[in-house]
Amino acid sequence: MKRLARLIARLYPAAWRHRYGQELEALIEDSKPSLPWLLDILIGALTMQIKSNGLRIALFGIAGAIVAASTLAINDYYVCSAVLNVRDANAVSTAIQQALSRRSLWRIIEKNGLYESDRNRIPNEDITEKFRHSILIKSLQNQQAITVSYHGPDRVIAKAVTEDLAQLFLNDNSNIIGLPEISLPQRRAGHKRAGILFTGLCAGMAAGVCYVPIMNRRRAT
Amino acid sequence: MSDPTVLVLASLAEGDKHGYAMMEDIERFAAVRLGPGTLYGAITRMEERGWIRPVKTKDRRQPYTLTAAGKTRLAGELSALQQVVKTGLGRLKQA
Repeated sequence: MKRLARLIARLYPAAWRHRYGQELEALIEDSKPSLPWLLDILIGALTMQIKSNGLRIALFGIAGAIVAASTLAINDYYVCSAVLNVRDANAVSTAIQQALSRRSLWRIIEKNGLYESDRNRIPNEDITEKFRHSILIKSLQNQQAITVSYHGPDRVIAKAVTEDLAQLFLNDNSNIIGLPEISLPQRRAGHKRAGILFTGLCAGMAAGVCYVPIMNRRRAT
Repeated sequence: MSDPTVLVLASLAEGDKHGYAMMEDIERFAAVRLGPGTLYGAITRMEERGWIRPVKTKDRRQPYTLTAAGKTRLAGELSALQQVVKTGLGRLKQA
């Protein structure tokens, strides 16, 4: 554990180690190491790094947050749901099987112009499978209702597709009754934006803490 | 009472000490175990502010001594603390 402590102590800035490094090593030799004790050295090293190279580490952090934000922009999507009431709970699984058949789904894909850029490259079966992964069907209230949800990058198309999916259940099964209105999804869903940005910021700062000392060393040689 | 600055200053008020001796002394009189990172963070700050300075030695264990500015700082901190203790104890008696 003392060896690990000495390794962590190397995370201190070079200038600081030049002045206090030997003393800290002597202290590590004299002390009884423990996990909180190692953590204390790590926090001390990071604090000193931020104190000495704060601006550059902050820039790394901002860059990390920007990268995280751009990921959000690429992967954002809208979720639209329809609630359907069920008269006979036993009919639900059959209804789901019928509604999610390859033929039914392909009709919706063609009608709404989904995956147009993929259609020339990927077999139809794979596109249907991809579409199936964008659909979520859940039973509610002891199978007295089901929700049919679809997520996609365009909110108008998401609504149209959800309506078509709901219609599949209504057309094929008299035991399922639809609620009349499906509203346009207003908010993008699926990501904890603040969490992703914070993670990006922390990852960027961590990269800065590791990389800035290397940059400094290269400059010095 | 866990402010490492005051604890280190109070430890050095007794006499010159190196890092490990300070840690042991502080644990004895304040029942606080300072980690090496916390201790050396405080030492760095206090040396920058001129409250302590290193004593010449050939040993790897570097002793530190309290400067006049350090003594003034410690006196100020302890007097403020004394005021808090006095007020707190007085209010506790009335409660």
